[in-house]
Amino acid sequence: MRAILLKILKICVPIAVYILIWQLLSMLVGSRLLLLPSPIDTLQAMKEIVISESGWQSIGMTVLRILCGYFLGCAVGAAFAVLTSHFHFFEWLLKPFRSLIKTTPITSFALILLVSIVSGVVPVIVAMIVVVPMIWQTTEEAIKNRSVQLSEMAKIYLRPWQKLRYVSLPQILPPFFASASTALGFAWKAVITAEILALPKLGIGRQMQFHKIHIEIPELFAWTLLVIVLSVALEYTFRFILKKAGQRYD
Amino acid sequence: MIEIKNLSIKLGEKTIFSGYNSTLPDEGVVMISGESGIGKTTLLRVLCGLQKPDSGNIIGLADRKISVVFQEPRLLEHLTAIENVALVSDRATAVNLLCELNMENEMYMKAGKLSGGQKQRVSLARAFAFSDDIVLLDEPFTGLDEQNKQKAARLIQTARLAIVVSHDAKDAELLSVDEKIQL
Repeated sequence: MRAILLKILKICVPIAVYILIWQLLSMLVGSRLLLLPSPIDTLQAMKEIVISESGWQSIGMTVLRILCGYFLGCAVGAAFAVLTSHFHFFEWLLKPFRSLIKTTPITSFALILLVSIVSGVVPVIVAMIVVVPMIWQTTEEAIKNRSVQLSEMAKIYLRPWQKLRYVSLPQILPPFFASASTALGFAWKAVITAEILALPKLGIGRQMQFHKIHIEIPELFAWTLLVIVLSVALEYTFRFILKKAGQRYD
Repeated sequence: MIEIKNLSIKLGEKTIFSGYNSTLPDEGVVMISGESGIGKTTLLRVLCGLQKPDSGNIIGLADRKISVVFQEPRLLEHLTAIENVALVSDRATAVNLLCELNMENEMYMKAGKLSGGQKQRVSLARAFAFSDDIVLLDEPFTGLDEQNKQKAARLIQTARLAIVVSHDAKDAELLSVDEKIQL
């Protein structure tokens, strides 16, 4: 009981301190410059968003884009990893492509894609582009670093499907899950950025851009806070699922 | 009779075998000995097909089922001892072999949690669960105490053909080997 209380305090106390600093700062500069709304104003704006239909539709569309881009990125990244770790030809052909997508800013991708693709799809592709190299690199390394000794043992004793299930996957999945967990946070950021640039019909990014143009700072803060809360919630849910999935290989 | 004909193997710059010829019996316990680095393990690897020779061939292994006890146990550490053995056979055989090797109390423990000697016994059980036709054993008594060595030796003697690599002369006595090959 005491341990739980201590855990709750460890989370709540820093949050309370930050809110207090925020309140003090808003009292000092916010009212004069309109730059920093108070926590109360922000919560009020957040309440308005949460009870409005368009608010939920925007959240729903953004989450949908994130999930689509994320899962597509995981699948494509894993497929590329299998190709480049097994065939020198694909390694030679695709590695420059990986370097290219790793180093190109996501805003460039979003702007280039906007020329020819529907604005609602751009954030999905941008999220995918962000996720692919992360999953690709980690999975490729995991495949390449598989134990030679266990592979030899499997060659003697196991059927191909047993080798995949009991030898290869337990070595590849833990690093894959770790990078998939990190990639989710990046997918969030990529989708919101792309939505701000692409301005699809519905989406958190569009809402943020709208409030920025109209200098509605509490609403802007409220959306930002919502993004943080949703991102953390989704990331924790995924981490929990991935942890459960990875436990069988501990 | 298993015939090793004109075997040549080079590992990197080092020549391990150059035109090596030998014969092995079809049955019994054969011990391969020789100084460290001479190619004992390499010969086992060639016999089980894990190492391709540069030239030469081995006759008499077709249609025979080979199992291997490696120098390291090479277990799947996320599985239990019994799961490791049952992967290559049925569960009843796995239980019998593990009991025979004094592992009745540890068979449901994850392989990663076992001691070196216990892992070695699971590795032995797995080899015999897979096949006792030809069993290749590379230092099979590593990490075993006297009592478990005796049990392992009794099991090894049940193989139709056991080819044992060992650096310890006492192992030959323990296994009552039928033939010794000095490399």
